[in-house]
Amino acid sequence: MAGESPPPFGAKKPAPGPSVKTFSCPSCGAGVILRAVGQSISVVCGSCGSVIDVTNENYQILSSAFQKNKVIPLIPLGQKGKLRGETWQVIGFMQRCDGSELYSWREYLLYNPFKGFRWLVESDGHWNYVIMTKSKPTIQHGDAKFLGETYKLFEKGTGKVTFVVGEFYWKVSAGETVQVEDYVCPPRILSSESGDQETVWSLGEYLDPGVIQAAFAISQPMPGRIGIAPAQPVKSSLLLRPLARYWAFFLVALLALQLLTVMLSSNEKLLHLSGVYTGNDVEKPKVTESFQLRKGTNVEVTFQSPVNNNWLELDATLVNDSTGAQYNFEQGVEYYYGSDSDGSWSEGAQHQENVISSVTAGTYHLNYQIVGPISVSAATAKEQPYNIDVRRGVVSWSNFFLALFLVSAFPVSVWWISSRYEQRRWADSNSEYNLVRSGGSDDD
Amino acid sequence: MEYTCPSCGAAVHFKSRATVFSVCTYCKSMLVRHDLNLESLGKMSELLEDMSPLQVGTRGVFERGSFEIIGRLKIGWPQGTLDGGTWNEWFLQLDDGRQGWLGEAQGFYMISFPEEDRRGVPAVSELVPGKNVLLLGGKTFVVDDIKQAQCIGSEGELPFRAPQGRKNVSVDLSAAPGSNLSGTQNAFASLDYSSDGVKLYVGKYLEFDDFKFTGLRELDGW
Repeated sequence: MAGESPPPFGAKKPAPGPSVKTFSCPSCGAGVILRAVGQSISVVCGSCGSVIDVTNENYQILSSAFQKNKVIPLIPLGQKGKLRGETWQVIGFMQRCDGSELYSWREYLLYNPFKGFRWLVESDGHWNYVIMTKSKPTIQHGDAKFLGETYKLFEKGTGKVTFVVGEFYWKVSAGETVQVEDYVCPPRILSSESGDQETVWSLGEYLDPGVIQAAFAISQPMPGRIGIAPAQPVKSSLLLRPLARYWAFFLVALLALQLLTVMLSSNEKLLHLSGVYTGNDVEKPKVTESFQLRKGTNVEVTFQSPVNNNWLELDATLVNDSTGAQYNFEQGVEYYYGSDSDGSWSEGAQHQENVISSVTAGTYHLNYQIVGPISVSAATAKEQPYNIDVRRGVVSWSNFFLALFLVSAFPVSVWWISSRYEQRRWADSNSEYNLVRSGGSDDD
Repeated sequence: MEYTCPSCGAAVHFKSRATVFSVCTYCKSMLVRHDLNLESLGKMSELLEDMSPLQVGTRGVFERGSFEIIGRLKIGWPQGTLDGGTWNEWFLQLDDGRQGWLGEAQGFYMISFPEEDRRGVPAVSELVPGKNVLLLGGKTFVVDDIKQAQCIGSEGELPFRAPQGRKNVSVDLSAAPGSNLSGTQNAFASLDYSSDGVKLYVGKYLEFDDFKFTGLRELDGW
């Protein structure tokens, strides 16, 4: 030995571990396969349903044949598939039902000797890929705060094993019942299962059935999806939050812009004209004095007259003194009121604003004519006083409201579509906090 | 340090100065290290097979250092309680001189280190699953499970005598919800109550890939 260094400890390669172990069921003699050797605690014989202790090689029977209705797993035991870049082997399957025993779901236990265990849970044709977690959420008023996300309580209930086959890392038992709580933040679902001794948390993620089908090479058609699953991502709902942020941003920008416009607008008075429309003859066209527009701007003309069951109209042209460029417009006021069987009514207004946008700089005057009802008899003719105000650089609110509509139309539609989906999703929830959330939806 | 197995004469190599116990790779004698020689406590019965991908000699990384697995305890908890089963505690020699443990149970991996600060460690009788415990001067952990454990086998070198049948109560704890453990959603602590007294280990739950293991065992079909 002297002078020769011994082989480093552990360098002697132990024989590789067995991939699977097989033995005969002590109850019925059928072959039983053990895949997670050293990890599995119990195996349920696929032939007779006996639960066998596999923590040692005595293969003691823990319970016998409690299962009346056999369920064939869609993914057979022993099947391997690749999910999220990892190979997983199905080693256990169970069907569980809720307290009413009317609603059942199916759970597949997946094993990888390096990565541990995962679950695939199928209910109503919807699939969740589930990992156990030792991190625990903080629960408050039906919300579970977990890794920076808020999960909303969806359901509280029980889960009772109604059928089981394959191997598990605990002692499965007939009718084993746990308390279940589900919290959702699509596409994720956070669940707790509480037994007598401990509470176990797990985090699931919604997977498209096609992903499961491809991963495990399932040739049969996948069970059809019913309804909206608790963790099912709805595109419009996922879009809502980023959209709301953009919307808020644009809204603030729009308001700021409008505020700026209001502050910077000159709103300068150019002309004030007033007169009386006699009503017994056609009024003559009139020409105003000239006024200056120092720079390109909009021009607002306000026409006002205290008409009652009457109307009056202003026909006018804004004319550039030097170029002769013309802006024609007409605007009228009409106001009617009365009463009928429904009570009193009124319609119309006694003033009207008209904005001519983008008028170039220059010297202008206004040609105008007042038009109204003409009475042949002077006795019945109604005199109508009127006012015309011409201003420049006024704030346009119509552009603001148009922009507001354009910015809001898409987010509001998405919100509406999303709320329809969410109502369908939450219709299945039994959370006492749910009523508030779904806006008092009571279609349960 | 080199010794000779008093039972079969094979060379027994100790990598760490801190270990006192080893199992002869050839004859499976359980050996206790004294100053100059080894004392045999008898032969260990064959370890139950398992599918663990780890083995004595596997290397891995943690934080900025690396480690080598130099020993293993296989722990079982007896039947008659609610559950029964086994898990592995792999003993680690870190390149910076520290020693630690890598627990491997139900696909979870937890790395932990002995903690001398035992303020707030309660008596085992006070513990129930779900109870909060203040450790390390006010950090909140919650008891996940309590197991009456028993050493059902060991290999490699270990820092204490670990003959088959050594009994202890093993308590696993994790960060309590909303706890004040800074940035450690995955905090892990373990309390070990045995006739030697109580030991506290503190560390983290990590994923298999985090350790970047090399020298793994080959598993048929995987």
